[in-house]
Amino acid sequence: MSPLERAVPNGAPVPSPGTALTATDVRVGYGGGLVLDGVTLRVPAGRLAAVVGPNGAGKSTLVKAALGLVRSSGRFTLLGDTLRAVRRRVAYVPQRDAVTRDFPITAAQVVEMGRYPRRGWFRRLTEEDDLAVEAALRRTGVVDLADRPLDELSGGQRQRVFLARALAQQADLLVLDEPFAGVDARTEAALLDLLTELCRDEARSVVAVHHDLRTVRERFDHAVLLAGRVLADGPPAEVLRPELLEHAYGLAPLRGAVDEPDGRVGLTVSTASPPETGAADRTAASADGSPDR
Amino acid sequence: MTADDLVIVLTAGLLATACALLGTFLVLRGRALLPDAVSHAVLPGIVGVYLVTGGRNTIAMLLGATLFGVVCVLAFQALRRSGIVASDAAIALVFPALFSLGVLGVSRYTSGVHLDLDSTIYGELTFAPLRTLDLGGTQVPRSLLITGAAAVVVLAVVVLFWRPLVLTSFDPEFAEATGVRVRLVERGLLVLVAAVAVTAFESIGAILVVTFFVVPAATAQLVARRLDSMLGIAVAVGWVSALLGQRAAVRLDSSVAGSIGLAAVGLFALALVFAPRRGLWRRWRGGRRRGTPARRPGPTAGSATRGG
Amino acid sequence: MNWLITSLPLPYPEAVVAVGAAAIGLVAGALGPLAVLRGRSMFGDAMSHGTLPGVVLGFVVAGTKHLPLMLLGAGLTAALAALAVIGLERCAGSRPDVAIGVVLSAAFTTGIVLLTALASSGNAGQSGLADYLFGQPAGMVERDVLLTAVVGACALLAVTACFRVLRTAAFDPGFAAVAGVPRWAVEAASTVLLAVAIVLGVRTVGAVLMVALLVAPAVAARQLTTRLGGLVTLSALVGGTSGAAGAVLAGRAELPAGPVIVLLATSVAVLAVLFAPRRGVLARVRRPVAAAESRSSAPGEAGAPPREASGAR
Repeated sequence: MSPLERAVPNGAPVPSPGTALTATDVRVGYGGGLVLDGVTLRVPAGRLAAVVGPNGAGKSTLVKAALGLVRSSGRFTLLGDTLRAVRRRVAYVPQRDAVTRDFPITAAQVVEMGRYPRRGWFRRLTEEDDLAVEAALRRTGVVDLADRPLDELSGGQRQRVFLARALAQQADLLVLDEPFAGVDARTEAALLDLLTELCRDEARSVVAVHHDLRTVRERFDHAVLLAGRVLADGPPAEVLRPELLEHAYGLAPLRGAVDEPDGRVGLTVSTASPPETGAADRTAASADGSPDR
Repeated sequence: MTADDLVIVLTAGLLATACALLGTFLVLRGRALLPDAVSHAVLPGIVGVYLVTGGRNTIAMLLGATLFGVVCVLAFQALRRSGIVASDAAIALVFPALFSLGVLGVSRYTSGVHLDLDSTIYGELTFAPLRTLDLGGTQVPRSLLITGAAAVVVLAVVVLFWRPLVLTSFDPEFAEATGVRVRLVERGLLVLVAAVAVTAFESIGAILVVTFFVVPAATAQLVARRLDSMLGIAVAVGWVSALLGQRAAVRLDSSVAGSIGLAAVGLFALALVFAPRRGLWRRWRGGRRRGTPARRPGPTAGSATRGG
Repeated sequence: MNWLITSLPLPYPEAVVAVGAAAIGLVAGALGPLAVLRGRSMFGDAMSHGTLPGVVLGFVVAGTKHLPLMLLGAGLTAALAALAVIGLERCAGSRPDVAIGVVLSAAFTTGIVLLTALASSGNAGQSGLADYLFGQPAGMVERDVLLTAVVGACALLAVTACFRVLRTAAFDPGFAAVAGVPRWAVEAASTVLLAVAIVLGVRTVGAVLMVALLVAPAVAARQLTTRLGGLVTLSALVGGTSGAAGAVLAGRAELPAGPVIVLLATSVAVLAVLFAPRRGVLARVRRPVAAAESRSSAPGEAGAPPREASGAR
């Protein structure tokens, strides 16, 4: 455990009204290397924002650190406040393999979990909760599957269920980690429509880790280009410029401990691997002993 | 069935209830071998308490041995997190060694006095009706009280902490993000498992603890579609095996605890073949037609971790 | 064999036990890396519990304590346990920990029920069967030692002959598969070899603890060398020494042999983990800066088989 992992306590929140997520000089280290090295960014509220970058760029680590799942130094604000203050207003959709496979649970029961933070550990769920669950299932188009066990659903159906759980939280900020990994194109389009609707019509904010630059360019309002640090942060058209992308994906200055003579390694970016494989992202990080989550 | 038989079945059933409830969560959390590790680590603790107090005071034994088992497992987990011993080899190294220490202690210092190698392996379920406590004038078997208390406590914990347990078992990251202290839940579960393992030691010995925890839960997992039914089925499997096993043990004149475990394994085998959704029979017959949801075939056979 | 036994400065029965236990430890130590380097240590645990029903069945078939038959039975049920674990994972989609827990339970409860049913049936000569739980080398005769030595030598010969294949397989199963060595063949071969080591040891160390004699020497050797050849040799030496010393010590102190042997081998492993020159805890604490600066220091020292750590995830 590097000294950095022993958390430097988050300082007082910088009041930042109108933001969904800010980070100030955030560092995260695993096993001696830095995955995030001085990340500073500002995602405005009410936008559909994407965090993009090559494998091992620390995309997942960034959102996990923001949600307190990974120890970090530096400062985050969510919805302009500390995590502690706004936890109830934030919903999180983890990467799909973070979930226990083969868990005997129905789709509706998964969505019901979204109501737990609101109800606490002991209070009974009310009719309001049932309605919220049903509404969420309906919005993501899986209300017919409510009583089906999760392990009988397809990848796309499962992802709809998890998004429904986030909706049931009725949160102002949705954080999604690779929401479209292993999801068919039709589902991806439907879910993107839904996310867009949330931002445009309901003034909610969405921050999604994503790797498909084309959809980011076409569908998102805001993009953060990450490669250990923030290379660009703004409207997708400005962020996804060829020279910046080449810098992020092409140069790969941080190739991993083996060939790095000075041993000071933050990332394990490989030029060879295409950025489209979300799973390889994690393998690359865990291959040298650093759990990515 | 005599009254003594009934006491044995009840004791075993209550113990199986506590084990199956906890075992279900352990199986779902990928911690199925934790009871094995804990029961190995608890044995030197039991011997130690025995040596210190010179007897089998239930409360001292429960506290001391549980504490010892928990400390061992926590120390082991910290060691593994530090990356010094990052493999399942460490598990197969540390816990047999602790168990060896316990076995040596048993055979060296305590043999013949209510604690010997036989009871370490077979348990003393057979003697359950003989050791009684005076409870308001009636003689109540001591083990029945102890296992009953264990079952009630575990049931209460599962009911009270249902939501954190389910959340952290199903989706730990989501749980953490919503403010559940996942590590704390894990620790609590470990303490409870250790306490039940100590309780179980007297009745079923150290080695069969993992059987009572894992087999009913694994059976239920093959059958159940929902968590609540999985818990119910696991407990039911425990009770049915307690009854079947006790009857078989009378017929065969064999170890009661072993027979109960074997009955549970038999029920698992039945479920494995005939379970409505996941049974092998169904898979072979219907798998080709209906494209069952793909599972990862588990290329890492046997790379399981206990204690982690 | 006889000259070796008589040349030891020990009374004859002790010398027999020492040589026999040394042979067992040697074989277990040499074959243990097959489990440890591939992250299969707990798999070995299921197999070692799996010997118990076979021992009893072998006894039932022979009607007397006929060692070769009992060991054959042990080998068969241990292999059956291995198959069951793999079958549960591949066909029923069980997770490895559940598969191991269930198979271990099945094997052990079967063994216990058979053992106790037999004990109560009053069959004379069965009284020593319970020794197979925690090990009892006393009563070992020269013929048993010879059997152990011959079977063990065959296993070691097989390892030496296939050393290159096994090294490739332990290091990189994918590569081995592409290079034309089918994965199932390597799996089967190493499972059979492990079963041999376990079966040979089950009488002396016991079904409950046998896995530790596979794992501890390999872990100790792993700390001290990075070359597979050296690792296997060193592991065999550690195993053989702990086996001989433990069996003699246990005999003198009238303790079950399994725990004593296991504790000796584990002590060596713990010492190696603490004090090994390069990989030891102490060596790492002394160079914290280097460790923190370079990620490569943690799991994969140059040339070391990287598979070792993979089982933990």
